[in-house]
Amino acid sequence: MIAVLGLFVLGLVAMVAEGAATSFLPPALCPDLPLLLVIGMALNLGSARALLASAALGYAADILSGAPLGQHALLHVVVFAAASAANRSLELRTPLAQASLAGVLTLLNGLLLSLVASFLGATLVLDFRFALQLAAQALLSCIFGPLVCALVEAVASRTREEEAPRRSVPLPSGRRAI
Amino acid sequence: MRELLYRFRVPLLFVTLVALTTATMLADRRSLPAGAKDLPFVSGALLDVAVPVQAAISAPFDFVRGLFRRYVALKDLRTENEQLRGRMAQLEEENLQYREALIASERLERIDKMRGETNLPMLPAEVASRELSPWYRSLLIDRGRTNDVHAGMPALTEDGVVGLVTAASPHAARIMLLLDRQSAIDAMVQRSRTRGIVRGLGGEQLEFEFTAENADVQVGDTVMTSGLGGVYPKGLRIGEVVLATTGGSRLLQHVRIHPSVDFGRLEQLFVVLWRSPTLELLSGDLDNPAPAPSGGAGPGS
Repeated sequence: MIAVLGLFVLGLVAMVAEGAATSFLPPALCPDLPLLLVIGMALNLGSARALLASAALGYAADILSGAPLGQHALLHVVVFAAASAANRSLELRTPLAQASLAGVLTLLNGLLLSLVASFLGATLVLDFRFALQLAAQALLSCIFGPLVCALVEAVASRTREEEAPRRSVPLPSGRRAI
Repeated sequence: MRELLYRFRVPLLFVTLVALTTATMLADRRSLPAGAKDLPFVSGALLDVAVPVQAAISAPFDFVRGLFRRYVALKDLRTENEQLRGRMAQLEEENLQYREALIASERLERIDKMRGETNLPMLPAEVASRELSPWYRSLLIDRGRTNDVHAGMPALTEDGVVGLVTAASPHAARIMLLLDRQSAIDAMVQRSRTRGIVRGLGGEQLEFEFTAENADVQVGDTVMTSGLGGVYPKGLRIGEVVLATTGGSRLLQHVRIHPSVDFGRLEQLFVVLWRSPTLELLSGDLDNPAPAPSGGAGPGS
């Protein structure tokens, strides 16, 4: 619980920091840190709380970015599900695998974002510029994805260690001891 | 049932969230054409928190960006400064040329006036070099015998007498300046008509000799050629009296003249294409005499 909450707050801070960084860097050169955090949570936590946190991060992104409320949330949920599914069937412990997954999911996220936006009335632009931006984002995700995954893993393992003594232990008698 | 729900909690939550997000998205999209709307409390609070946080995070970025912009601005300023300096130099050069043109125009006016007064044929000449020896005050001009410049012809500017042509080659001539110690001109004070000899001292001033002690000479008087020496036409300005003293055992006044021509800045002068009959006679060139003055100021004898 603490890990998810901490990561959620971290996601919010990353989102705000990213917004600040876009005033200094071109938006295409800023990695989508909340998305990478969602992927990291899917790979390392994979729980219902992490899914909820991902959706909440998406809602926060919608509020801050001015997107239709729920658009980022929906995509975060989809990306979380896709990452969880990939984690169940593939070996994604190595940084290279994580980088590849982050890149692919970023591409998927971008395409879906564009499609959903066009479904809601926005103009669908699938030109070279869009492809270039998408490729740049995927590349950035490949670079930063393993780092964010390592961060999430570190936070998760730390909170797991802190919470372990307080967890209930099943006893042979059927009773549960704290 | 509860165990089943717990077992499939993640897929169920996924479906619920997809449904919820889609619903909120569609609802939000539907409400968009209705115009702007106030955000709900949670969303508003998020924005309220995000703005100062973002400002705090942006502060270092803004600082760095400000530094960078200032650096770029300084760099641009330096480039602009260099361009402006270049432009200023160009304008100064133009200004100098205009001033030169103005000075030249004023000078031409004075030359025109002088030529109207003297009414003698003159030839402009450029000063090629000057003071070739420290003991003699002379200069060379770029005109010579091929231009009808001969020894014995006076040289002057719009300010007054420069000196005398003492030697002429086919394409150059040497002029002895008034300041030279060998130079002597019959002159008179314009105001009182007091006569005397203006002699060069080798320095920057001239001496007015043979002036009687009771002669009327005052500081500030203008001294001009008398025309009696047979070399210079009458009425050419020589200079201004700067010192006139009497007394002592001398019978003559001690008078100093400051020449009206600024020899230090002399660049161009006029050679009067005229020689006195005496000089013509001495040179034995009576068959081809220089033109005589047609009126106005001219040789006195």
